[in-house]
Amino acid sequence: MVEAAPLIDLVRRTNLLVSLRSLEGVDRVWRLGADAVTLDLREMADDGLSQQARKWIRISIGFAAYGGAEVLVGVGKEDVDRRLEAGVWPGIAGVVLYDVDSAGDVERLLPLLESMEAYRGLSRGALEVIPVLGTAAGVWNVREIVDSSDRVRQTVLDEAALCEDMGIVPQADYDALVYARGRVVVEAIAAGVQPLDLPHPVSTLSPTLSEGEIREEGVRARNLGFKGALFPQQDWVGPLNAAFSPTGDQVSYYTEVRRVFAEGVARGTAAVPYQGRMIDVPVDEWAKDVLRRAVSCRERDRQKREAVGRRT
Amino acid sequence: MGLVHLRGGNLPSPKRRSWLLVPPFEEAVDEALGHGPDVLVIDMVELVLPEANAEAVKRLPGVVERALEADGVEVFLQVNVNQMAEELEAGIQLGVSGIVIPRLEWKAQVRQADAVLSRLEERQGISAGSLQVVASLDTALGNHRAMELIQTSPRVWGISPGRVDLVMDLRPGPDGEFHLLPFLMQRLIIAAGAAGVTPLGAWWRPPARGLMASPKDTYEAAIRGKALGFRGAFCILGEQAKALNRGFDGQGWEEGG
Repeated sequence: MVEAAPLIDLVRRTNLLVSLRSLEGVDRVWRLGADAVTLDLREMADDGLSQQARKWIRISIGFAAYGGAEVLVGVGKEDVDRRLEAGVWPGIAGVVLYDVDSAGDVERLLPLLESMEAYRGLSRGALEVIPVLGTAAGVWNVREIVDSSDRVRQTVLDEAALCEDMGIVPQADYDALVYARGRVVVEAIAAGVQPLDLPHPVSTLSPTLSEGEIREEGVRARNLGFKGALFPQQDWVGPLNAAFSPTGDQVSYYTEVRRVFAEGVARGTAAVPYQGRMIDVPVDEWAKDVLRRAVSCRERDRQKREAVGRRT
Repeated sequence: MGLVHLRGGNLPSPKRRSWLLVPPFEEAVDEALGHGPDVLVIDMVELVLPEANAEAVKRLPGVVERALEADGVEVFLQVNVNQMAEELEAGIQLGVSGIVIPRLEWKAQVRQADAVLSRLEERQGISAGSLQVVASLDTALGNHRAMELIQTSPRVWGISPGRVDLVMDLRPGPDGEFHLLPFLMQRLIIAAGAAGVTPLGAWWRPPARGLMASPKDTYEAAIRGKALGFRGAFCILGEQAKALNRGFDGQGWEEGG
C-alpha cells in the first residue's frame, strides 16, 4: 500500500482543470507551476475513448507532468469504468469524481480503482479520489463522503454547480452558501481531509480578476479553512499558489513567536506577551503548523522548479 | 446521520410564492382573498388564543368551505402540533391542499399527521397521499432534525424556518441583525435541496419584521430569500402577498403595487 504523507504536508494548493478538447490546452500547462493538473475526461465523447484518444491522453499526462505537477483525471459518475480504462495510466495520481451525492458514489468507484491499479501496474492504493460536491445532497452527506475511503484526502465544494442544483441564481450581494461552506470545511477537516474552494462570488460568477484580486480571493478562501482550489483559469495558478502558502511575513512572525515562547518557557512561564498578543501553548502549536506548512510549500515549489529545469 | 437520497429529479415547483395566514373567520378569508395570495393558510396556531381554540375548531369547517369556494388559491391549514387530530378532523375537506405544522420536532409527530391525513383522505374521498405537509422547523431541535423529519413521510412537501427568530430567541445583536438567522435558513435550504422538498421563507432584516413589514420591505425580504434559495414565504398582512409574489417572481418593485 502507498503510505500517505501527513495531511499538513499535502501541498496541492492549485489543481488546474484542463480540457482535452485540444492539445493547445495541454501542451503549455506544465510551465504554469500548478501543484496538480486534472485532465477533464467528462467532456470526451464516446469516440474520444478510441485507441487514438488513449494515446493522446497518455501524451497529455506526460505534458502535464513535465512541470512536476501531479496529474489526475476528472470523471463524472456516468460511464466511469470506460473513462477510467481510457484515462488511468502510470503517472496518474488520482481521480476527481464529479457529482458526488453520497458515500456510495465513492464506494462504487473503489473496486474499479483497485482493478486499474493492478491492470496498469500502479501501486496498490496509489490512486486518490477527490469527490466534488456540487449538489445539496453532496453537502448534506459530506461527512459520510469524506469518511468513505482512505483514498479521499481532498474534497472540492463546487459552488456554481451547487447553486444550479438548488435553483439559485447567484447574485454578488447575497452569499447563499455560508452554511454549505462552513459545513464542508468543518466536516472535511474533522475527517482529516483538505477542503478546496474559491468562495462566492469567484466560483459562482467567474468575475474577471487581476492577479492581485485573485490572490486576495485565495487568501480569503484560506482564511475560511480551504487549503486550495480546483479551477480552469491558467493565469490563476501563480497567485493562488501564493495565497494558499504562508507568507514570508508570517514565517518571520511565527519564527519569532516560537523563539519568544521558548524563552518564556525557559523562564518558567507558558504565557508570554509579544507584539500585543499573548503567546501561549495553542499559539505555539499553531506557529509550528504554519512553519511546517511553509517548509512543505517551499519543498513542493522546489520540486516543480527542478522538474521545469530538467525540461528547459 | 444517515445518508440522504434524493426523492427524485428536480424540486417540485408549483406556484406557491405567497402563503397568507388568516384567522379562522369567514370575513378574514373574504378579505384575504382580495389580495391574491397563492396559498391561503387558515391558521389555528398563531392567530388563535389557546382559550379560543375550541370555538375556532367549531367554526373551522365553515371557514374552510368558504375558502374553497374561491378560484385560483390553494388552501392549507396551519395546525397545532399537539392538537392535530382534532383540528384536522374539523378542517380537512376535499379541495384542501395540505397542512402546515409549526414547532415540529419529532418523527412521531410526522407519523401522527400522516396517519390522520390518510384516515381523512379515505373517509372523504381524497386521493390517497395527496394531502401535503409543510414542516415549520422553528425550534433548535426541529432545525437539527430537519432531514429525518422530512424523510419520515413522503407527504412532506416543504420546510420553513417559520418563526425561528422568536421561538429560538434570536434577539437583535448590536447592529440589529439576527446573527444566527442566515445559518439557520441556509441549513434548511440545503436540507430541503438534498431531500427534494421546497424551502419556504424570506430573509427579514431589521428594522422590518415579518409581521409588520411594509410591502416594500416584504418585497426585499422575498428578493433576499429567493437569492438564498427559498421558493415562497409566509406573510400575515394581505398587502404583503403581492409583494411576495413579485419578489419571488424576480419582478421589479412598483410603488402601490
